[in-house]
Amino acid sequence: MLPTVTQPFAPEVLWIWGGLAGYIASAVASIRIRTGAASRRAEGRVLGALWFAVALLAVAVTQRWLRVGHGPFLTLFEVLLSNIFSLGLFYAVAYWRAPAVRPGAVIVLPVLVVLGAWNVTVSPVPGSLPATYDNPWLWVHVGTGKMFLGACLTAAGLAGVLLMRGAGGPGGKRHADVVAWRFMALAFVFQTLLIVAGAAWARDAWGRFWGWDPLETWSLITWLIAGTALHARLTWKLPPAVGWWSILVVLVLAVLTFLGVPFLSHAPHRGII
Amino acid sequence: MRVLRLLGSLKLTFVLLAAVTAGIGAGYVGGLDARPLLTGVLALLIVNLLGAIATHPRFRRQSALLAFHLCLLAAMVLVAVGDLLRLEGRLELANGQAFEPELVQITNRGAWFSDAALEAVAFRQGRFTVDYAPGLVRRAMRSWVDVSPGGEHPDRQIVGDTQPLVQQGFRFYTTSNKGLAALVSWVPVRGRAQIGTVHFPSWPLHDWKQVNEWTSPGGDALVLELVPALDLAPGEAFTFDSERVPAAGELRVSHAHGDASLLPGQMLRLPGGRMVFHGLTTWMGYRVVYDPTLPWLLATGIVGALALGWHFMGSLSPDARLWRAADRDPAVRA
Ligand code: HEM
Repeated sequence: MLPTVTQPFAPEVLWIWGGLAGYIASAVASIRIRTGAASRRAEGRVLGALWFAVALLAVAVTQRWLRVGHGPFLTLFEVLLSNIFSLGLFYAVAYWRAPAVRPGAVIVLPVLVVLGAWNVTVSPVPGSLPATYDNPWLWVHVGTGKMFLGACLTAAGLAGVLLMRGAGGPGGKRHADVVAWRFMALAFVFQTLLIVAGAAWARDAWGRFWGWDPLETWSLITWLIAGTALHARLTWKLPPAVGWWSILVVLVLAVLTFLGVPFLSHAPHRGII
Repeated sequence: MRVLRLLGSLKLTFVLLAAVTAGIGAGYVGGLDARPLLTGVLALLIVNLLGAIATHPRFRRQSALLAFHLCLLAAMVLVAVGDLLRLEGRLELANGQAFEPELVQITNRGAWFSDAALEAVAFRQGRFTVDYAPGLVRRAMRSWVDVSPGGEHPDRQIVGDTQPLVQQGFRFYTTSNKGLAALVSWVPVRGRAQIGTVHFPSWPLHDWKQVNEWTSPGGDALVLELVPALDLAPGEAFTFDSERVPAAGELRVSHAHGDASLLPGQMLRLPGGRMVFHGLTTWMGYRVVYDPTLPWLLATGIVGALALGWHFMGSLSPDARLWRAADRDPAVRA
């Protein structure tokens, strides 16, 4: 018996399956290093599989873009696709250039696997692009958003292994902590720009820079918690574990804001008017 | 100094930031009106930040950090000022009608907003078109307005849902609100005749009830109903074009003494005078917003974000040894 086709076929999905396979291979290799089943020389394999996945996802993004005629930021399928691509790219560069982030791979890569698996189960039917999307601020908004999420995920990977007491001896722990906060600081700068660009876009598009729609509200809450977390770490000198938890909270909120809120609510920010 | 230090306490900052977050969350999730709370907390945050800027030595040493917090301060002040200066409202203009400040129905007015600001706005409504995809899904909206209504030649500009007409800081956006109108004139028993429009509910949304009440200048209470003049086939794509509205519609008028049906050019005698129906026209509904602090807020946000980036580049500088530290850490390598 032939399987029932429940979704219209989209050619990008094949490339996404390939990317997902790359992420799985990369995650498995990083877990093997962590559990001692492989030596650190296997980091080359982690990175190789990561680049492989990112390259396939780049093809998926390009194909989608050409096929539907607009950038991948409208439907849940498109937002997931562009994010698994940009997060993978960000992390591949970080992994390659800043070896200090590598211990966090055991958290970051499984997260990418989960997002990729989610992506292939979501309907790829294209949406229609409302006029509000034709605006230069959109590009700044989307670009800074991708940088924010990438830096946040990288920081959260390190915070997670630090909480699992896995970042090594005292020296390693301290370094991993410092590097995690660097990425958090980077994330915060991009998040600030993200909100500013979003507000500028909203002003152009809807005549108001801020309307307390669910997306705006949640991104502001995330921003305030990120700011509070930075104060907690750098100003109030709270115990490090509180800081690491707060990084994870910011990541969870950010992912919910990016991937949950726009698709659960029917607010105008979703783009449909 | 003690007081200042107390006001600038970072413990207070923590409490206030937590209160803002909780207030927004409660307002959003719980549907509570968090506005009074947020206003109070924001005022305290402004004081807190001023105190901290005055007393914390870090701000004297790290100018980028100071710049970021000053931007934060400026943003909070600008939001408050913007709230006082702002205006939000709605406006309906019939085809060919010129803007007048009295036509704006204000929905939200800041305490410091001055009506004089609207006096300098001048434009005249022209044609509009609205594209509909099958299923009455509204797409592109174009409304042409003449921005030099007194001038020799029309100076036309296109306005859309996301493409405002900007004049004197007021931004006018088209909305889904637009429709048909009856062009009528009123000839009183004594005195001068007047011409005007009666707007019917938004079309095509309210295609099924094109009815409106109108009290004539002579005091006659009337109910006007438009007999469907445009065919609506919701399953097909079409364009609502103000210039393709057939002028020849039929207008039913009910009043205290009976009913009548008027075709363009026909007249109805009423106790207070005569009403002449000239035909169908259209009206366009706009959203009006005014907030002169917005460009400043945008600039503040950009400068603030850049200052923060600058600060982090200094305080968490990309020191290559640290970035690579994990390499040398035996426990990580294991
Ligand atoms: C409104 C009240 C605020 C006060 C009184 C305040 C005060 C301060 C002070 C005194 C410092 C220097 C820390 C030190 O001496 O070690 C600082 C740093 C910082 N603040 Fe604030 N702040 C406020 C609000 C905010 C907000 C709303 C944010 C962002 C959401 C923020 C983000 C930061 C960041 C990122 C740093 C840098 C930390 C570092 O690099 O050391 N601040 N703040």
